[in-house]
Amino acid sequence: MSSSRGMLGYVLAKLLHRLATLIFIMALIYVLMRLAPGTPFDQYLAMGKLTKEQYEYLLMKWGYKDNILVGLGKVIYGMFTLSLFKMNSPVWNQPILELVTTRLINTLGLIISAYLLGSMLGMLLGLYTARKHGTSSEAAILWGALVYRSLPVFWLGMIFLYFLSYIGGFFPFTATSEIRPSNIFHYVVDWFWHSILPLICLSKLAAVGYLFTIRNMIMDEMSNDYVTTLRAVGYSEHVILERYVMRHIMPPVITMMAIDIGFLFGGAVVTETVFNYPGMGRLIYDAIWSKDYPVVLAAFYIVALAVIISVTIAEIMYAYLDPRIRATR
Amino acid sequence: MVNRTGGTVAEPAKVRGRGLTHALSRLEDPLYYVLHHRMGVVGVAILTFIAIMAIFPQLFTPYAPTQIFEQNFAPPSSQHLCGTDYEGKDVWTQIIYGARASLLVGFIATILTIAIGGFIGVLSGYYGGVIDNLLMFFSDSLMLLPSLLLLIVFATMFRNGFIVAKLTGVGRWTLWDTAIVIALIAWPSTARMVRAQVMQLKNRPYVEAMRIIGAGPWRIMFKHILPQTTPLLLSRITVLTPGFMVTAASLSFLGLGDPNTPDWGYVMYTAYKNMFTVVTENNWLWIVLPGLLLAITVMGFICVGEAIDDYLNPKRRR
Repeated sequence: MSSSRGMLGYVLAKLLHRLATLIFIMALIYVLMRLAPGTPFDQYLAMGKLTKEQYEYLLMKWGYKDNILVGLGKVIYGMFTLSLFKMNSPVWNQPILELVTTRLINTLGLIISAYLLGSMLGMLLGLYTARKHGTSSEAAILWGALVYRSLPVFWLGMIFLYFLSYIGGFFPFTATSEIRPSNIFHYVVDWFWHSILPLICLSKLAAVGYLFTIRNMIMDEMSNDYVTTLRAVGYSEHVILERYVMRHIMPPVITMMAIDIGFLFGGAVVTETVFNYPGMGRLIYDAIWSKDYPVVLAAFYIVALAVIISVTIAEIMYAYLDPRIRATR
Repeated sequence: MVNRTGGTVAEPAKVRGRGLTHALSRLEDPLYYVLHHRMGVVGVAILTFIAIMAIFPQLFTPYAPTQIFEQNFAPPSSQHLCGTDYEGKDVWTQIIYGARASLLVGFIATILTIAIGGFIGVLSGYYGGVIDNLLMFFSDSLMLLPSLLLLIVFATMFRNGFIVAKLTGVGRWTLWDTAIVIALIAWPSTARMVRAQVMQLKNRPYVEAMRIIGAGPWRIMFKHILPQTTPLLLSRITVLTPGFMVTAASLSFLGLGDPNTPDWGYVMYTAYKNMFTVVTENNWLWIVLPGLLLAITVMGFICVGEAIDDYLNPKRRR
């Protein structure tokens, strides 16, 4: 088989596999929600604000009374035609598309900056500690990272809020800005000012993990015979590390980083809660809490899609970088 | 086997007892290594302290966690080190007893995860083919989804009780439910590791020999292959437990925990909810202490885990 056909086949198989994963995830969420009791209209019925007929009508309208299989079909159909986003939210009473996009932009801004910040820092420190193996500066960085890694995200957020915002008064209490910025520059500065604390909290999730993984991988790789040979031939440590060792460890690192994007979405829920940040995680949490299933489905769809696309791209890159992977599939 | 200076030597012909003494003597070597490892000994010290706190909380506080005092939101004093909360319960006592709840939820979730992951990993690795494809499809799918979000779905949807509540008739979300749901979501990484090892083991001559003398697949899988993965499964404990403790605490922090057995996350949740009072009374211990204890515990696990990792990976030793 030629190499390019192998790659194409690999990509197609992967895409099909991921599509199945996406459908499975959405089906899982939908079935779970249908198994749980309650609807968002129950409280209005109990308060007497809705008549029995109005209640029944609302349930029909939002699909709370669908047969579970019919509903599942609707969800899968909605995934492809994007009709998941075309309804109004029963709780927020606002088009789902509008609701989800504004929240998504907020969260993506937070996640992507935290991610870049964290992974860069983690990778650089990982490289540094691997090169300075056995020195006191390595030990200092590792212990510092270890302590930092152990701190729970939400606790870090609370400490920041308490000591820097309430007591110190250096930073705003919430991550949302009340003033309307006058120009784009002002907007960016203002955004940063409000998101700097959540950013630090969230980037912690990425940074420290990479430090340890990359350091351990480099050290494992450096003990291989080929490195000894290269050393004997007379290559400098610098060249060995950058030209040979890094090349071997990059593919798994890329995949790991891609999977972690999903992990950051989870961490974003907690961070957004602490800082009252109107993001995707918070939206999902509130929507689940108020049993607003159309919004939950739409939001989960976006998150799952984002994660799956990034992971798939990473895997294809991995296969491109490392031909052995293609061969086994 | 590995000798004390770190090099590898041939297994000495030691006569070992059966049963418990046998098991203990097998632990002797890693234990010696961990206790003489720089990080390991720090980790063991931390975990011992936290374990004492969890087993004998009475040593640290004169009150019971359910005891209600007259003054709610009392400022910190010599009677109430961290004041009292909105119900008039002593916060210091809540924090001390939180050690038990947090460790418990972490350990239960870990044991369940290892059980599920081990079972599915062995099944998938041994049979291969369709079973393997299907199980790995589920595990891939679960791995891709942010686990905290899925956890929130479970915890919110089943506020009135999940499996344990249905069995015992409690009728609300408990610590056990948190542990069970964490395990239901977190098994894939363990299953994948076990599967990889089983795929290597199943082609060994001894497995072939078992098959020839007529042992059934279940007997081979669970009596002869699974025990070989014990070191892997044990080393998962130090990785999974602290992670699960933080996950459970995050869930509690979001208000989805079990208020009747408050863990550290729940104490932080009440502190966050009453941030204004905490600030006006300058009761910073309420905010700092539970998270600090959680962080210290996590650090203890990481240290011990790092030591065990070095023990299992002679390449990485110093």
